[in-house]
Amino acid sequence: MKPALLLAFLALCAPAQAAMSTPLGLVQAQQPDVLGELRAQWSAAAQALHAQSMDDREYEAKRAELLGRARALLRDDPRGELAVRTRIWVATSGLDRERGREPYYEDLFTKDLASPALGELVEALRPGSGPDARARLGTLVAKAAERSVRGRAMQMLAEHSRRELERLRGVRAGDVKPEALLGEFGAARVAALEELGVDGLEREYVAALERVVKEFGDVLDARGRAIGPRAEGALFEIQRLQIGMLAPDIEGEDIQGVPFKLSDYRGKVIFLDFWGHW
Amino acid sequence: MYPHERSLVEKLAGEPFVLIGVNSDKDREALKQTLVEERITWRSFWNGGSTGGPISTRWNVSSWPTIYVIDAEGRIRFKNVRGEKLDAAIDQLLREAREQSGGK
Repeated sequence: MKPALLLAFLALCAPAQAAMSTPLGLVQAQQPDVLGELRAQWSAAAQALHAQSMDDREYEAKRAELLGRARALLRDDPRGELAVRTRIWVATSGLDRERGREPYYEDLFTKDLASPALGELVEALRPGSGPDARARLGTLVAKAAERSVRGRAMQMLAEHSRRELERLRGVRAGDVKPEALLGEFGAARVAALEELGVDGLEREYVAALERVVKEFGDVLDARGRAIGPRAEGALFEIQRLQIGMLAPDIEGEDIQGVPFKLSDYRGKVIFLDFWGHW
Repeated sequence: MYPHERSLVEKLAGEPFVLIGVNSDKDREALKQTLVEERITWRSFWNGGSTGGPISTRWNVSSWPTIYVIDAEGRIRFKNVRGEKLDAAIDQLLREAREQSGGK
């Protein structure tokens, strides 16, 4: 009887012990750090390559090692938040040279559309991140289940329009070579931009901002600030703060608490300096 | 930045020129001390103690410093010019202001 009791006792204890001590349990408890560490190692490797303290072969070995560890994270819980965030990282970093980025994007845009973690993808698709970013943000606006993801993607699309406007104006002023736009925005978008012109693009930018204000004003960005007021600021800038426009008045008080207005200085050339002592 | 601003203010004393700041520091009392220590004589709006204050939010300022140069008639003429370009911008607008008042 005694050995049987002992066995029964062990059988009762075993699952609890296993859950506490398996490597999987530990990995889950530390999930955000695991991915953060991989990302940090990858950016350190890129810096080391740039500084020539790491050669191409060492860099390639590091890439393969990190890709292996990323794949392991994807295997553990393929539809969990960590896997979604890992897929976003592999897709946007181009870590997987063998399979490329597309399979990861395809997964994100089919199976992961309900994940709130897609907000991280929005951040990665900022202006300057490649010619495909705009189309991908468009997919998120149309298909992401989370309203916050759709709102942040809409706001990022507006950022793209803002950047395109700057560059188009630069071309017009002769500061930017037209060829530079091809690399940044891709041939298809450059053709569309030629069609739109500065005025058309500005209308597109304003429409995107207005949509952010109307539909997604209370959505929070990556830093936890509502995106509505910032879009309103951008609208104000384009409608009231362009070169050649009459400067809007500022009413306030100085550091000593004395009220004054910007228009008190009409008749003088004003150097208006938004500053801080930090 | 302060030495350049100080020299502009000193060089252009007596000209129709003014440097106006919009300050986004957190601590107003500490800032008053800074004004004395750094010999900051020009006037600044208080932005409510935050980079997210009312004036910088309305003017859509997201990087610091952000600079506007406004002509004597109140029109925005330059944005984010620095160094020699800033000096040249101010000189140009002062010249325009002189020509205008001289022509009248």
